Amino acid sequence: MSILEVRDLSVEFTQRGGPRLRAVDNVSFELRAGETLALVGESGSGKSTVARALCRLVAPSSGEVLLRGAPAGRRGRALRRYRREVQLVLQDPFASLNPSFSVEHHIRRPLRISGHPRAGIDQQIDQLLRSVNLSPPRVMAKKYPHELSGGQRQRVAIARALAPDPAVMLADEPVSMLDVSIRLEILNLLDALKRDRNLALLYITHDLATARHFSGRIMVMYRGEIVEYGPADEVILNPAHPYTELLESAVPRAAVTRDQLVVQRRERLQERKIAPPAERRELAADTGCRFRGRCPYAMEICTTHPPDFEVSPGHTARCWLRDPAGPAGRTA
Amino acid sequence: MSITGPTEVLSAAPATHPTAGLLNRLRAAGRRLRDSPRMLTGVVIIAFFVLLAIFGPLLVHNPNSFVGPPLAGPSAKFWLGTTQSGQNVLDQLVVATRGTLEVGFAAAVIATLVALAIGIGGGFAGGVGDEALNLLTNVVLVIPVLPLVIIIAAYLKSGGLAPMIFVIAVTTWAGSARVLRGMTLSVRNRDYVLAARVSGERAWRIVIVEILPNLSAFIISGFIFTVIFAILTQAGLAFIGLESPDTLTWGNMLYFAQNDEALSSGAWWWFVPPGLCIALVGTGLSLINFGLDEILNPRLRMYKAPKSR
Amino acid sequence: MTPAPAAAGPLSTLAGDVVLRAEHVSVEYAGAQPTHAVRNVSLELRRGEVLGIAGESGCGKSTLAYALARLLRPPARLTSGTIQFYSRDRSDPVDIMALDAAALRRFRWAKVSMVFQSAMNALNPVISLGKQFADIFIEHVPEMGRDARDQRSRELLEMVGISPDRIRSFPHELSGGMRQRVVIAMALALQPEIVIMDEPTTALDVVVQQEILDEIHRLREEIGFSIIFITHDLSLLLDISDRLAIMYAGEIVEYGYSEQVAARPAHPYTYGLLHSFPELRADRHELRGVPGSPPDLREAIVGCAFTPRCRFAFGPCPSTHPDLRSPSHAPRLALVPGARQVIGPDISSAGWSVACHLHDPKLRPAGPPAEITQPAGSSAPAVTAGEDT
Repeated sequence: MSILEVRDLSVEFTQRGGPRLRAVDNVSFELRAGETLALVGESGSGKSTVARALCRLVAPSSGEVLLRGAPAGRRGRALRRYRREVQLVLQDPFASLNPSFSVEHHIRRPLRISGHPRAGIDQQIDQLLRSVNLSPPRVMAKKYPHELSGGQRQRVAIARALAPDPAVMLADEPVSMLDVSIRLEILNLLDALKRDRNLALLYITHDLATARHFSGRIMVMYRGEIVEYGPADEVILNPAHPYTELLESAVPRAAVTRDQLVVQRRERLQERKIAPPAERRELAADTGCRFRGRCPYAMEICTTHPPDFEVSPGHTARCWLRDPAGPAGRTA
Repeated sequence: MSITGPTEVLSAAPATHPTAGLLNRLRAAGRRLRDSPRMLTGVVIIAFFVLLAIFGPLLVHNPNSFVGPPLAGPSAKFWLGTTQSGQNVLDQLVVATRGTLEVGFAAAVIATLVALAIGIGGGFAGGVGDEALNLLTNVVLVIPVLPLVIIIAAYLKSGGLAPMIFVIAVTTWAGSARVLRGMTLSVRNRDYVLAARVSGERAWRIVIVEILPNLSAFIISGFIFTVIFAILTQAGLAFIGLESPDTLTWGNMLYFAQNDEALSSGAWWWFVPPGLCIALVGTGLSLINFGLDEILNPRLRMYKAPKSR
Repeated sequence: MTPAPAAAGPLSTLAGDVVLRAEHVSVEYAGAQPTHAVRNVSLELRRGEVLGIAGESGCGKSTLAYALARLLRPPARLTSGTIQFYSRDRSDPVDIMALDAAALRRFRWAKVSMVFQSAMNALNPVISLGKQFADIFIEHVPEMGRDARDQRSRELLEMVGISPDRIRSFPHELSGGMRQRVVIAMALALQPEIVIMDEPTTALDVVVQQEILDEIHRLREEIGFSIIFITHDLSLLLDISDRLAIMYAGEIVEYGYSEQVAARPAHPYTYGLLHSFPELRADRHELRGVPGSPPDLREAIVGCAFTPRCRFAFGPCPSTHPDLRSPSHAPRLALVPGARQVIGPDISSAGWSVACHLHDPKLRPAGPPAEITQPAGSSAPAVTAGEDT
């Protein structure tokens, strides 16, 4: 069931003495209860801005956000009601908790704001702490952030986000700053909570592998646009957009032998002698496909901005190669 | 307003006060007080003067009464000698302590409150309000302080200490306000402030609970600096005759001393003690400031590392 | 001084000579309760190889890097151990810790240089790139004229794939990837024999990261320096390093060839780490990671530091400290299909050690548990799902 619908969302920033920067450009998607949607992209793609716009930390320049069919509140009471339903977990566990306050304070405040009476609030705090596996709850509640590890802090951040009993949870790179060995714990926790509470989870990350393993659908963002959108397995195993292909090839793979690695590396270096490194190829392309500066398959028609083409049911890509009417594009 | 030292003002906050974390740190700091000789010295000096200000006047007689021979040097009866008109310098000094410290702290409190309101308020609000307050701050900052102070003081020369307090407060808030605004702008974008906003926390609560504690170190040290500045400015103004003569402060004593030719007649016991007291209070407050910095910022602590390779 | 061309691949590093040897190095942070950040670490870097050091926060890898480059500052200090540098030009080793100030200045950057974690930590934001390069030359090669400096700086930029006209740019005018390249160029300016890289690509996107790592390899082949590469990203390390050392709680717990470690991790922590990365294209299965957190290094550690988090902990683990030794009970090396066999005749234990009682034949005559000897990357249903605490 679709809980949050985003239609043609755009976010623009004014830069001093420069053109307006479109960080998010006409993005549309929906979040469904009990499902995870992964938003994959690199830094500068606009994915964090999408999260902030959905939380109303940043005002969208155009487009709509509908919560259960009704437009999201913009200010006052309507905004507060909206905020109770849509919560955010941030990336940096060391910055998302105020060092001056205890864990208890961090969880009590959202409970009080969302209307929980003073009576029984301690039990509620304990329950939340238990649900994120911070035990024993009374002991953990009294601790201060500097006494907790990164993983523990992130659990507190999750508990805080769960306090108002939201319908939607936005997780902006929730594990990228954590040690590798505990990332899976936290991701498994989010997954379990999503199932138990029927949350609509938006998992924002640059890590394709976890995006695939923890979500049902994936959106790939590049410079503010969604370039590919579809079921997780589909998008990963049959990427339809050249950028997705590029991302996948850059992920280090464990099962490759040293010889193969050396060979692949030489191939890449050869290619790069012909085409210069990534940054130098980023054109200020505001017309046409934004990826064409880096795209190995760029064609004439790419100077016109491509629409979304359906690759298979539920799987779309914004690339002329997928145009069924065009020059028969290469198969994935 | 009762005069208390910096540490006492803070510990008056109730245990559930939002700055509880800061409180814990300060309590731990108190324990570490012993380890910082600078801070300890500063605290001792200021404590001494504060006690003197509170209790001193109860122990001495009316300082304005003419009790002895004019311009007499220090003796067993008059430890610091007498003034031109035969007043007891020591008595005067003790009573003047209260006046001086009152002006210093009161002006600093008012200036700090104004700086907080304008600096943090503007920084957090953003938009047009911020631009306006920022403009106001910059204008006040640019106006040369001393001439302005002199002009205002000249017009208000009556009615006790209040005019002096007002004048100093009005001319010193801008520097802190500017810095506080900058700090607020940076704290405002920290993740936990964003998290508070997403939780639905109201703006005023965010300012007091999330932002203020981060600025506390600066606010405290800024306050102490303002006290020093206020006392020195007041001494300066009084010395050039801009303080109403019915109040007794160290600055005023210097004024009278100078007026009554104490310098040329070599009556050092009249002008050296007040000057020395001003210097001592200034030093004591500075030492406290350095010490606080060391305590609240662990990275500045000196490590006595063994001879390392 | 023309640099000798480096070996073409990891094969020859087995026979290569040692360029840096650290023995029994321990580093402590002074304080009310001293923190033992590095505990009795010994390692060897061979000429032309990439030695990776993997570990998570608090394991001591960065501290170790700083110690090797003699960059420790109070309150950190080396409490024991020796670090010997075997220069190309001399026959006898140099004790790094014994260098006097003048010799240390000559040594630094010319023999051993460092690439720091964040480029913005290494680059001065208010000085142009050209000037920063010039500073290096002025300090170390005073006889170099201004034109020569300029020329060489441009060459260095070109070498890392940045247009030489950027020589007048300031750091903030470059993207993150370009800044990191500049930092690498600066580290290579004097053609050192060893470059220590501390998380050089952490802040970068995966595509840029791959490009930079390729550059590093190319440069290594051209110039012939050795690299100590430190990161928490084990999958990255398996990609780029010839040998690697896994650090936990200040100690090295496994040490060997990357392929071996990837195919047959000997230490339960390595095993756990390898299973913390979902494979992009493999079938989905339950993944677990390594629940728990590392021990407090201020306290004395009795026995094996990994015991509380170890799935295979048994009898002697909590009380007896396992030393780093070759697993004389070498697992059968039927490697992962496609892996090279050609490392040497004595591959079974050549250059491979682990600090774990599971591999001590005296304590476990039957050898380590079967699960741990299974090749990583096989879709063994790793663990039963369960609520992690």
